[in-house]
Amino acid sequence: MNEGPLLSVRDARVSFATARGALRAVDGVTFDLHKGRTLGIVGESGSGKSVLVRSLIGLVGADSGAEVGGQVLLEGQDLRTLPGARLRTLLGRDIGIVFQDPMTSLNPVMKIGRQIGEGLQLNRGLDRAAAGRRAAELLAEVGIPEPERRARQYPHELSGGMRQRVAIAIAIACEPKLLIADEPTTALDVTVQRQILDLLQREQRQRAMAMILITHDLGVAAGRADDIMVMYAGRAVEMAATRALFRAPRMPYTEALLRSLPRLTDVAHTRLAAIPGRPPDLARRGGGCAFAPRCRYRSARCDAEQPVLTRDGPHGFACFNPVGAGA
Amino acid sequence: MSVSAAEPAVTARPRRRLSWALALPLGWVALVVFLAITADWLGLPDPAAQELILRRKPPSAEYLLGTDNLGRDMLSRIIYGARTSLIVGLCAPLLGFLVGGAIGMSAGYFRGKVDLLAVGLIDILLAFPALVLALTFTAYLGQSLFNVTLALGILSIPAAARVSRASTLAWANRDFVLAARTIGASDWRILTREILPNLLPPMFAFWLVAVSVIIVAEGALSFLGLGIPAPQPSWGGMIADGREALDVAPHTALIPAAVMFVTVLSLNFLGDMVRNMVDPRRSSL
Repeated sequence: MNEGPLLSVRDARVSFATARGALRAVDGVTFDLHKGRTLGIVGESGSGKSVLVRSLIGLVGADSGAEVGGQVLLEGQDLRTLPGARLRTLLGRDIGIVFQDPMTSLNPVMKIGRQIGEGLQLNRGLDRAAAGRRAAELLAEVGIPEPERRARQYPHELSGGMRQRVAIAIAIACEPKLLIADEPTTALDVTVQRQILDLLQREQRQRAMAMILITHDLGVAAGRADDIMVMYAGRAVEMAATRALFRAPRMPYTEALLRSLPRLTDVAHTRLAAIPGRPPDLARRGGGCAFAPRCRYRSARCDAEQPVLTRDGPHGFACFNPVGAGA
Repeated sequence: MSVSAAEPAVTARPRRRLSWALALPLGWVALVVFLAITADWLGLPDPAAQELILRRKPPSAEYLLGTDNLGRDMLSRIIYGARTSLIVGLCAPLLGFLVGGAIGMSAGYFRGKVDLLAVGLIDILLAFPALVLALTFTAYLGQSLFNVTLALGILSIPAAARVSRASTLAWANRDFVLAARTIGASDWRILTREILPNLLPPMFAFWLVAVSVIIVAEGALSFLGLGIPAPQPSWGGMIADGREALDVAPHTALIPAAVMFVTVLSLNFLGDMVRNMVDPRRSSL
């Protein structure tokens, strides 16, 4: 690493004004992402992972009734202070997004080739014919047979997996520096999930893109991410290199998540260790650790004070009674 | 991921059989449109030529649909009247849909203050009694084909705005709109390229229904004597004229009424059918 991070996020905050008061969906998240690396963001539904990433690139903002704070630097440029038109060009060129559900992320009345070529026309100044040719090449690259013919089809003529491949082709069309995959496999069949993840990983390596892989599935993140950030109730509760995280989780929540995964080595019919309780209501948070009510290691301090993400070498965690501290 | 050569082509769609329920209304509307366009070349008698000796003749070989109170050929008047009714019926909703569609789309897309303003405007227009507005309009600006079309066009703005606003609200939250924004598309581009094409099928279905409503509305205006001015035949005007002689020559009112009825019914059928084709999205798995 001889250069600074590609993406640098400092104290990102998003809160929504609701009838019951401010709902803090993202609460002070900080991380760096270097070129060519993959960051996995793991958390359950409502943990704020999608909102975090969408707020980074201005998809969640004032017009959707959200209050956004913190700093987002892409190659040293603060995205939050860029004027709208500049931000758009920057987004178009440098960032690609793959959404969860290819049913809704593709325009049903526009031919696939056109959808892929659109960004190329807008951001790379290609003419229609050139964009069309490049679209077919991209389709071939993401593993769609007969790309020329497929480019002339509409989304409903393709299967879910194919559609997600198209969505990936759209996302990488303009050679972005950062690829964001927001639960890219959640809406797909298990058999197709792996293919899509392989494809994402291959493209990321070939193009030396940085990637943010959002998932609620630790298993998905395990094989694909260099680093993992675990989110709970809008906060980053643990951040570490993937191997370190799996070998020795420090935050009780991560430990509980890992325990809840089925293992091949378990005796048949072993019960999965579910996490008791439910995630907290983000609109009525107390002062303590958000995970405390469900935590096995809870102490009096956990209810009174909110732990901040502290670093133990490269391993960061937000907990007063970390797992394996010998306590 | 290999695709065998024997796999049937995905593009081949099953052929839709043209059922009577579709063929009849479609055929009737096509006939009316065809006659209205070619009226001048059909060798019809002048629709305004009066033959007072031959007034109120029932249908016969010479006058296929009889003659009216002033001895004018009914068939000729029906066909020329179709021209009037169609011009008003097609153009007024088109005007309303262009203006209303633009208002509705901006309201649904930009939300906030734009939405508030647009909805307020729509509600005011809706609250205004439609016929009174049209009457005032033609009474002040004068009766002409253009003014009647304009008045009825304005009346169709709120409905069009509501339909387009509702659809836009639904589409604007889809991920492909977000995706378009992330590839750097401007609001204008998103509205015209991403959202508008999705709005067209439901709007077209609704437009067909609006055409039939406007044809009836034009008839009502003419019936009240504030429609298309006198010598120019229109279906509503013919019904109004025929009313005087309903007891002695009922065909003078009933024939134009029947023609209008069948046309409006056909348009409604077509509108419903188009809506059924586009509404429950077949692709939504």
